[in-house]
Amino acid sequence: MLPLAVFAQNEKLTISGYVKDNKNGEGLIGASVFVKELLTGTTTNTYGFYSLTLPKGDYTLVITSVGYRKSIRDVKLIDKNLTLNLEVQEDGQELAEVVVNAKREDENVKAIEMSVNKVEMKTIKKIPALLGEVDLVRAIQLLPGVSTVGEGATGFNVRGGAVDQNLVLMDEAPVYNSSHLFGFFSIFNPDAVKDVKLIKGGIPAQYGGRASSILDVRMKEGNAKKLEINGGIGFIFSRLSIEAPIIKDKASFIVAARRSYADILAKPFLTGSNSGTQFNFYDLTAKVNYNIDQNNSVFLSGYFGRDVFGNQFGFNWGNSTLSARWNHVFSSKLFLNATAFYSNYDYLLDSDLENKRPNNNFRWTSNIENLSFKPDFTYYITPNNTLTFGGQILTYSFTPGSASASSNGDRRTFGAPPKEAVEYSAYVGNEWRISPKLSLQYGVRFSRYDYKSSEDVYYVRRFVGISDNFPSGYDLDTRVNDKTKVLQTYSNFEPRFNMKLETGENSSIKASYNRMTQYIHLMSNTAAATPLDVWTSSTNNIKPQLTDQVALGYFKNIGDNEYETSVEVYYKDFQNQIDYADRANLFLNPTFEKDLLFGRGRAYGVELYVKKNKGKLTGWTSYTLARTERQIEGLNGGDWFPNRFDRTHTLNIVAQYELTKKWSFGANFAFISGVPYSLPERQGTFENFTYGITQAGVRGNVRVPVYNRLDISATKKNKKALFGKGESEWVFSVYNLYNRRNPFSIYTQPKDAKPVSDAGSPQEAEQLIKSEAVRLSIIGSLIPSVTYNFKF
Amino acid sequence: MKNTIKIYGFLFMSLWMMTSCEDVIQLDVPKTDPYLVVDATITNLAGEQVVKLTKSQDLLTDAAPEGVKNATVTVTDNTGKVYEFKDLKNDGKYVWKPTNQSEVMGAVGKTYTLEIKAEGETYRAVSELKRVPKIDSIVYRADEANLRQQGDGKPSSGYEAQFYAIDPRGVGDCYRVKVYQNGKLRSSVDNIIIAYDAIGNKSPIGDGLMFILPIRRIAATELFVEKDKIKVELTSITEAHFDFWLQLRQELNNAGLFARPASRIPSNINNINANSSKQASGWFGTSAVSSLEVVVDKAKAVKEFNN
Repeated sequence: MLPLAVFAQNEKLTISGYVKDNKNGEGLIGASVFVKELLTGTTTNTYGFYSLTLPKGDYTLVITSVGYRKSIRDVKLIDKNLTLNLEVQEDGQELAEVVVNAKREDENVKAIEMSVNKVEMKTIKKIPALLGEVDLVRAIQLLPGVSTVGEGATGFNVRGGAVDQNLVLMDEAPVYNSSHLFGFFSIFNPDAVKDVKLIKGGIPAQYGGRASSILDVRMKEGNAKKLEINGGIGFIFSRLSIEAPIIKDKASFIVAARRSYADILAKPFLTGSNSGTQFNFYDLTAKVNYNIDQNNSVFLSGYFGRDVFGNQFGFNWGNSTLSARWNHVFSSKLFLNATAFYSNYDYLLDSDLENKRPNNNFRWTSNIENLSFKPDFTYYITPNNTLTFGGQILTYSFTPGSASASSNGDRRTFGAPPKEAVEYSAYVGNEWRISPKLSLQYGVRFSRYDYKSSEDVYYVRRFVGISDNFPSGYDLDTRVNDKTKVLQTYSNFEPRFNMKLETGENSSIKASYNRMTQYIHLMSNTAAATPLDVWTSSTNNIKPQLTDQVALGYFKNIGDNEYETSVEVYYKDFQNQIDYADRANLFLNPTFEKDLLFGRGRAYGVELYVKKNKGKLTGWTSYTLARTERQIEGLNGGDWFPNRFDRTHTLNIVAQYELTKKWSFGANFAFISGVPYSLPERQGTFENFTYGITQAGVRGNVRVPVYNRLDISATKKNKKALFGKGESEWVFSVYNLYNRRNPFSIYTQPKDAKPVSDAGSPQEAEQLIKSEAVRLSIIGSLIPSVTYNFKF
Repeated sequence: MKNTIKIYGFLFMSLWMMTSCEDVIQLDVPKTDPYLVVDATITNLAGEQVVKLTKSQDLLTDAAPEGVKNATVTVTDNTGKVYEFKDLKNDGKYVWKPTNQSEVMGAVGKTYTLEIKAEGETYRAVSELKRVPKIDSIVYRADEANLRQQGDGKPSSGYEAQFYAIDPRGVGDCYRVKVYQNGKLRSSVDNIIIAYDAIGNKSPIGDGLMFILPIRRIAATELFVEKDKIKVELTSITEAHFDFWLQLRQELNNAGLFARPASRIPSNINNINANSSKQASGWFGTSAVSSLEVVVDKAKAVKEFNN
C-alpha cells in the first residue's frame, strides 16, 4: 500500500528543524507548518521537530500553534536541504488586540486523529480545582468518554476501560499509580507539565501495552533563555519550580518540587502516642536537556513521588521514573527518538515504622519495576506521506507481595514469589494524505510476552464446581516449574487504522479501528482502586487482555473555528477480563489465581463535545451516553451485568471568562449517573452481630444516586510578585458550591449498639448490634480555598 | 490491612478537611428467599450448650429476629452419642443441659454433627473440635488512649494490654480470641480477633510462634482501668470457621472508598435437599477453650511490653 513511487522523485529538497517558543525555547508539540503555495503542510512531532520535502522553489511557510501568534517565513529551496528552526511568540494578553487571527487552527476537523483530547496546561490551570490544586487527572475527567468510579478515586476510566487499562506516560516512562492521597490529587506537578494528550481511540501503532487509552504527559524542558521561577502556596501543597539555561539556547534544566503540609499544620493537635503520626505526600520532577547540535539532542528526566501515612503502624507508596532520550536527525527526512527508561512503583506496610520493636513486627512490600529501550523512527517521505516504525524491549519484574513477620524475635517471611517477564514489540505505521480531503493512517504492532516464575512450582486451574470452599469454582493443581525457562509465551498482532474524509470546508468524518493488547493486570476488587492493589503478570492462567474498538465521528468547526464540535460513537469489545470470586484473597497469596474469574466485556456510547476557543468566554461542554458491561463465568448467573464504573449519563460543562486583564473567572458543572453497587439481600443474626446475607456471585444489584456539583473560581492577576518582580496571582475557588453531599457509595454498617431484648428473654437481654444503610459522601460540604501563585 | 488504610485515610481527612460524611438512608434491595439462620457453638466447657435458630430478615429491619420454633435439634458425636437440644422457652433457643455437674459435651479430637429439622426441611452441619494452647500471661501497661481507643465514655488514660500464648507446632490451628471486661464480652466488630496459627492471615509461616502483635493486643478498642477484671478466652475453631469469621468481619467492616462488593459469608449448614428454596446461613462451631483472668493492679503493670 505504500506509495513507493515517491522515493524515485529526486527533484525534491527537504526543509526541517524545530519550532520553539521564542520566550523560553520550549519545543512546540503539534504546531502546524503550512506551505502557502502548495496548500500542504505538516505538524511538529512531540519534540517540536518538523520535516517537509518539497519540489525546488520559493515558498512561504505559515507557522501556527494554538496560543501562539501566527508566524510567516519566506524560504528559498534551491540547491540544498535546508535546516530552519522557527520561533513563535506566545499570544499574550497584551498583544491580543493586535494579533490578526486570520485562520485559527482547525485541527479538530483537519487532523486525522479522532478520539483524542489535548488540553493545554493554561486551560487546566483555569479550571476551578478541589482545594485550589491544579490537577491534570481531574481535568481530563471532564472530557467526553472519561469517568471515574467516584470523587477521590484513583485513576480514571476511558470508554468503559478499567483504571489499569490506561497507559500513563511521563516523558515516555509508564507510571503505575497516578494519584496522591488515594486519588484526591494526581502526581503531576502542574508547573512542570508542558503537554497532555489523551488518546481514547484510533491509537497509533507506536503505542501499546494497555487496553483502553494513552495519557501522554510531556514534561517541560526548562527555560533555555533565562532563569524562571514558578511557585505557589495552597491549602494542600506548596510548589516551587526552577528552570534555567545551562548554556543559553543549548542546554537547560527544570527542577520542580511539591510537598503537602497538612501534617505540619496538624502537629499541635497530635499528642501522646499519636505525636509521631506522619501523613504527607511529595513529588520531585527534574529534567535536563542538551541540544548538542542541529541533529542531536539529549534529554534526561526523572520523577520521584511518595505518600506517607501512619504512626507506629504506617504505610507509604510511590512511583519513580527515569527516562533518557536521544533525538537524532539522520537526514533531514529521518528522525529518531531513542528512549531508555526505568520505572518503579512500590509500597510498604510496616507495623513498626520507627524501628522500635525489631523483635515483634510485621513488614510487607510489593513492587513492579520496568527497564526498557525503545527506538522510534519517523521517515518524512513527502509532506503527504509519513512512515513511522520502531520497537521496544520492556522488562518487567513483579514482587506481588513479600512479607515478614517476627514474634518474640522469631522472624519468618512469606508472600507471593517474584515473577519476571519481557515484552517485545515492533510496529510500522503510515500516514498518507491521499488527497487534500482524504487521509489514511494505518499500521500494525506486533507484541510478544515471555513470562517466567521464580517459584519451584506453578499452578494450573481445574474446575471443581462452585461451593463455599471454592467460591470461584476452581482449584489449583501444582506442577513442577523449571525456573530457568519461560513458562508461558503470548504473541499478538494489533492492527490500527484511522481515516479522515473532509466533507466540507469545516467538517469531516473520521473512522478508526484499533486492537490493543495488555499483558499486565491490576488486581483490584474494591470500589476505588487502592495504592495496595497488586500489579500482576499474565501467566499460564491469566491471559492477556485484548480490546477491539471501532469509532466513527463527525467533526465540525463553526464560526471561523470559534467553536469546535464533534460527535463520536464507539463500540469496544474486551476479552480476557478479570473479576474476583467472593472472598477473593489478592494479597500475599501465592495461590490467588484460584480466586479469579474470567470473562468478557463490552462498552458502547455516544460522545458529544462542543468547545469554544475564542473570545472572552471559553470552555467546553461534553456529554457522554454510555454503557459498560461484562459477562463473567460465576457472576450473576453468567448474564451480562453493568461494570462497577458504568455511568449512563455524564455531563460536564467547563467555562472560563476573561473579564479584564486583572480578573478572570471559571466555573465547572458536572452531572453524572451513579455507578452500580453490590449489597446483601437479607440479614441474619449471629451472636450479637447483624450481618448481610448474600447469594454467591451477585454484583451490581443497586445503583448509587446521581452526582452533581458546581465549582467556581476567580483569579486576580497582579503585575508584580514578591519584591516587586515577576508576576503573581491569587486564585479563589469554591468546590461544590451548592454544598451537596454527593454520594460515592452505599453500604450497610453496624449501628451503634443499643440494647434490644433478645427474642423474648428479657433476663438475658444482649447487646444486639443492628445494621443500617449509609451513603458515603467523600466531599460532604462546600470547600473554599485560596492559592497564591508566583512567577519570576 | 484495608482497615488500616481506611483508618489513616479517614483520620487524615477528618483531621484536616472535616468534610467527608455519612448519611443514614433508606434502601430498597431486591429480596431473595428467606434463610434459616443458625448460631451454634459447642465447647469443651462444663455447662449447657446452645443452638439458636432464627429467621432471616429483610435487610435493615430493626426488630429482633424471630426465633424458629418447633424444630428438632440434635448433636451426634463420632462415637454415635446423641445430645438432644430443647427449646425451653419456646423462643428458638435450643439448649442441652448436662445431666450432672461433671458431664461435659465437647472433647478435643471428636467430630460433631448438628442436625436440625425445621419447617419441613432437614439441615446438617459437621465440625471437628480442635486443640487449643494455654494462655501464659496477660500483661498491661499504663498508657494514653490512641485515636482508636478514644470515644464517648471511653477512658482517655488507662492500661494497654496484651496476652501471651504460643501456637502449638503443626500448620493450620485456628483461633478466635474473646476478651471480657468485668465479665462482659467486648463484642464490637473491632473485637473480632481471629488467628491462623499465630498470625492474622492464612499462611504457614505463623506456625509455632507466639501470637504476633496485632493478635495479642486485647485493648485495641478501649483501654482498661484500675481494678478491671480482664479475661481472655482463646478458643479453637476449624479452618472453615476461621473463613467464616474472616468474611463476617470483612462484611461488617465493608465500607468507604475501598469497599468490596458484598460477598457471601460461607456457611457449614447445608439443607440435605440442595435444590430446596430454603437454605441456611450461619455456623455450627466446635471449640476448645483456654482462659486466663487478671485484675488490673497498678503495682503489677509493666513499664514496657516484652518487645
